[in-house]
Amino acid sequence: MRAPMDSSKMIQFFHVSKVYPGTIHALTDVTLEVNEGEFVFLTGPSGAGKTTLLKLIFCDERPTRGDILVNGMNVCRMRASQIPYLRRNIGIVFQDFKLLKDLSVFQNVAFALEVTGIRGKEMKRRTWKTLRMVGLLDKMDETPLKLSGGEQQRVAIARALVNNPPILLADEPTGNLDPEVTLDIINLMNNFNASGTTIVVATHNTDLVRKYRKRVIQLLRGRTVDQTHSERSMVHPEATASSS
Amino acid sequence: MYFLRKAYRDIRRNFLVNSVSTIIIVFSLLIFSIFLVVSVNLNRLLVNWKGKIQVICYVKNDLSPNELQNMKRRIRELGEVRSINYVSKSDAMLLFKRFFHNQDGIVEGLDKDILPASFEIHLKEKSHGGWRIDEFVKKLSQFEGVADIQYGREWITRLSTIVHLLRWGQLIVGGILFLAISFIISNTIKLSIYSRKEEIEIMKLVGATNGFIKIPFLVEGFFQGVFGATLSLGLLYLLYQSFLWRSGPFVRASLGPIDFSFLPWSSIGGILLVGISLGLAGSYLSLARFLKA
Repeated sequence: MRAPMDSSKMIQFFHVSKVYPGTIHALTDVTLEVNEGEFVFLTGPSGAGKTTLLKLIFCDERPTRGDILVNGMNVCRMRASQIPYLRRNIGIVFQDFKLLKDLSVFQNVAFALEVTGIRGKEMKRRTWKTLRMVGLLDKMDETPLKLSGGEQQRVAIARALVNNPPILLADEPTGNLDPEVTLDIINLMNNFNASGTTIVVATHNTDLVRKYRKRVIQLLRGRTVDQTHSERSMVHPEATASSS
Repeated sequence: MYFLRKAYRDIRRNFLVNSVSTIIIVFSLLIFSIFLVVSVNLNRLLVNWKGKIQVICYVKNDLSPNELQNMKRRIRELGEVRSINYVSKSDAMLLFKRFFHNQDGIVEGLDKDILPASFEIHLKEKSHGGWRIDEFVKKLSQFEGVADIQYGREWITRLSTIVHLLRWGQLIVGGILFLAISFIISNTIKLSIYSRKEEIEIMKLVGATNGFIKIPFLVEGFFQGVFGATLSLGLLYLLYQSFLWRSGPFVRASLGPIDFSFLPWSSIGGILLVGISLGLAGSYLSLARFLKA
């Protein structure tokens, strides 16, 4: 059956399952959608399938069954040579920042533009602009190791968003940060969301989720158990027990 | 141009890793080129030794100059002869005296006609094999006027066996060495690429195409190959010159006059090509694993 396309939906999963070799069921029959410009928390305990779900969106993994539409494109039918072009439309942020330690903050951010063929003055202009938005313009010549964890994550966010992608995926972006910095980072993402970027944040931090009035997609053992607004979200008792 | 600049920047950024792999390439290729130089000169030495193979055909005393001339022509017509030289009785005595010039007692009182006249025959290289010389000598012995033939059969057989074994040995050792250095160089490059695994992952995450990721690494592999091969050839030349200076006279005294030679241009080009190919292939194959997904 062909997946229906809806232009207001940025991400759509239709009965998606992912089985890793050794019959490990990471996701089972997941159907969900994320609207354009929405900010969604993806929660669940470790091993619930959050990372796999994000990886399926940016084609780091392929589903065993089901269809996935991202920005109107069926990523399941995408050829390997098309994946880089999909990823230019998706900013990705990780818990461990994934910055190149020997490059400066500026070079780390500009790197994402370079690979898309944007160089010279345009590259500098866009990099400066994004660094100003994340509040790191004064540290652009520093190397990541001289920055705090929160600042490193800001660099990672700047790199993810310098191409103006319509989607930002964040996998436990605050996992290594203290509570105050965590709020800073989520607020920063909120700002980008306000200017139209669709954001999906995977986290097992239920306290953080409760603080924001955002939709929550809750995963448990590879299945969606709840997709409601955070203030109405009843955190599954098993999820709370496992994530604490 | 962008990729050249990027490769240059990356080489500087990863200077230590790149230096270590280039040094390993230098020494691997150096070992292989030392083997080639030794082979080249061993072959020259063998050619030199083989050139000395000669058949001495002693002639009867009663031959007239006409008969001698006729015999020389007929020997040439056998087709296997590179050069033929007539040594008269007096020439033979002169050579004998020159050889024993320090031992007057031996030479004194000898009749000048006591040594026989002979033809010294050098054969063409293709006729140097033991059985070919045997055939030649058999034909020669049927000529009228031949008193005796000497040609050091045992020595020739032994030399032919040595040449045969050495040629096979060169092929086998050269082949094994080549495989070994290919393995070492491609694995060294693989390790240097593994050390930049994270960088490749990040490039993939931000939407770099496989071509964009590959090209700078291939350029780096190319330059590592060029630098590695050039440095190894430079080192080889220095080693060769210092060998000539220190041990050349000693070796010449032991093994006879040999014109030592550095690698021919074709081998120099070959080593450069091997360096470049291994650099490129090592980079390409290692990257293929990362870029499968």
